Amino acid sequence: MIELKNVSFTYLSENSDESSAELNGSLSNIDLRIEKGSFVLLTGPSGCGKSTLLRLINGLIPHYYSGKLEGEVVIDDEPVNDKPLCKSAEKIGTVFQNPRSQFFNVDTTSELAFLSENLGVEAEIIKSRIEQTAESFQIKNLLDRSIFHLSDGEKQKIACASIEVGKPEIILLDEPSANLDYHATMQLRKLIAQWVRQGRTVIAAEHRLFYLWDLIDRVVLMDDGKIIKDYNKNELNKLSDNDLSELGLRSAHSPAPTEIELPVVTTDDKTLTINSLRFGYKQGFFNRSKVNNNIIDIHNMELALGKITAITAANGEGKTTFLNCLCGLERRSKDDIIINGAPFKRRNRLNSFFMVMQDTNHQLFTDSVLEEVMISLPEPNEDKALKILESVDLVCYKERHPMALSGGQKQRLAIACAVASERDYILFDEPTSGLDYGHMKEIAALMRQLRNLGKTVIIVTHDSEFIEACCERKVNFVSRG
Amino acid sequence: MLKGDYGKKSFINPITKLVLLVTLPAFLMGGLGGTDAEIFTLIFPLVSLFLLFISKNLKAGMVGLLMYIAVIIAWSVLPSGSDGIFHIILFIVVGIVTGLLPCALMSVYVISSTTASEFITGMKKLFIPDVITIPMSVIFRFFPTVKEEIQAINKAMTMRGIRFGGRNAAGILEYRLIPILMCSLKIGDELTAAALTRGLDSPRKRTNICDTRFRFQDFFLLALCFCAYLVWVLSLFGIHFGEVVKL
Repeated sequence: MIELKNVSFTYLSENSDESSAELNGSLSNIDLRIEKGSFVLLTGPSGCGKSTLLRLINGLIPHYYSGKLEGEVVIDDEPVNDKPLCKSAEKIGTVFQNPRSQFFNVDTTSELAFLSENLGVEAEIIKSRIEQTAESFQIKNLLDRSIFHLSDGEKQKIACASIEVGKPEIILLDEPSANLDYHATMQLRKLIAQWVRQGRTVIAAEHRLFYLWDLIDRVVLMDDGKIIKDYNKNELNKLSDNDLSELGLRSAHSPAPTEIELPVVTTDDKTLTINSLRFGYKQGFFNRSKVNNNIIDIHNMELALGKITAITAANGEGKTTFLNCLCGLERRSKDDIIINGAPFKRRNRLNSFFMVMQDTNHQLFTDSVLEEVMISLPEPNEDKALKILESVDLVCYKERHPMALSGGQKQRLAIACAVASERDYILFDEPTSGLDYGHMKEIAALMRQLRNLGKTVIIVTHDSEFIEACCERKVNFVSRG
Repeated sequence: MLKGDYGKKSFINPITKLVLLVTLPAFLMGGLGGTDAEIFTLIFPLVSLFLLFISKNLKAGMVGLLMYIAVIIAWSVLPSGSDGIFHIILFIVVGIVTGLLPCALMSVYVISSTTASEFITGMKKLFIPDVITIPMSVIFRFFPTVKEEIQAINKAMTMRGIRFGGRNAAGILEYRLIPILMCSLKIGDELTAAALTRGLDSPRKRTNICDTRFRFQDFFLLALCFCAYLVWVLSLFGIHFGEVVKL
């Protein structure tokens, strides 16, 4: 049993290199008891403190993240605060949100063995456990692979498997599906269902509810560091999607993005036509063994101009590479793209497309929000820049350092830069991954705003609710088709 | 299918790797043993090339081999009496290729063939404390990730028109640093947190599913290094290997 007794926590401000969402992830007076073998979902808007709560349980607070902690966290009658982290590691497994940064090893099998090796389990036992896990999780094909050649969905499976090898009693999931497509999310659901069936205690912090909804025993709704609602199974069944959206939560039932009915283009649309687009990673003499599945080879794809088009794709289909090619960022792509009856060359595309990347940290360079917009304008003009900032609600932060903004604000800033660049085509790579209902709605409204400015908006996304909220056209992307 | 092929088994033991990493620069660049150890300055580059080929790192191996052959041919074909600037340049190139290059190739081999787990186990066997081992293993893990980050940032810069010849060309260097630093910090932080929830700080004796026993090739290479050091020590006492052989 896990007990939090009147726990309050504030991060120390010297952790200011963390995103500010985490800064305000503080908790106040949390009282929570979680029975053994139950599956609890923590949810609430970004920054409400659900990740903080998980860190309190796995011991990262106070042993790694320092701050002001009051109250007591007790697991099976042992207080967490006095135990070294490796003691918690024996009992608790954690899967994190970002597939890029939770692997310590470069190959998958070492990663699976890592926890047990650290705890000094005998090699033979570890090997047989890896075999068992590979069997029950159906990941034999992923063993002995380089982490860098896996898709995000596969990485998250390995992350789940790596904690399973340690046979933890308690499993913590911190937005594990944020980077996953529908299919990979459903596979993740299978693994979680296995844990639930086996009677492990599972605690998940998530925005996306649909894939866990029927497995959950209890939902704890948080806001601003407090628990505001606590629903049991019976109460949950009575909640409709409308009730959920009023609570600021995402829908409990979400169709697969491929099932949403939207036209690819209509007869009235002016279009950008991709007659063909091919891209393969260099197949040099020395690295012939490089994975081939990233190659893109598409024909006759049409995108509507002046509309919001969703592109849905499975993890590992090369959607990011496709966006790079479309923007003209991949020099080696061989393409034949037609716009208004004339070829649309790579060089020209480079100056007409703006891409808002999945990780906006990669594209914010300067030391103030205002300057960020200024360098995007074709001619520096402060009035114009301020006007654009106003449209995305960031004027009050104009002197702030972009890296000191929260995740949602960074994204709005990137959109402001897109507007400032005065380019006609704006591409988005998974703009809503890890966003709560409110922020998702905000982004959807901004998309419509862009469309009304006459921009062509193309969004790669796996978020069905988001597609339903704002997209007008939809293309199901397959890398070879 | 599973039995026996856990992890890519390294050809040599992590400890042998560390010994080679120290020994090669000592003799090739540091010039230990002087003329007495000349024979080793020929053997060690071959060892590093051999290891690269056996670990299927063909690219680095071929580049190294070709440069090595080219330099040796150039050195023997060109008249050694020729003087002037050309000769000096050639001399420097030969120095780099025979001295620095094999050491660099050995580092490439060690980094590309050692898993974090093997590395940690090897260091623990040498009684090197965790405060040194853990940061070093994080660095190993860090390079490829940071490389991916830098590629993404470069793309973003091109896309936003910050490129040579563009209006913001001056920002090329400055603008790059901020996101690289921020992303590296964030990833380092998350990596450490993830590793700690997987028991990295455990005081217990670490086990390893990879085979880290010493095999024939380890004994052979260690013996080779030992011989090199022996020649050096003997030469300090005035016993010269070359003369011993002649006698």
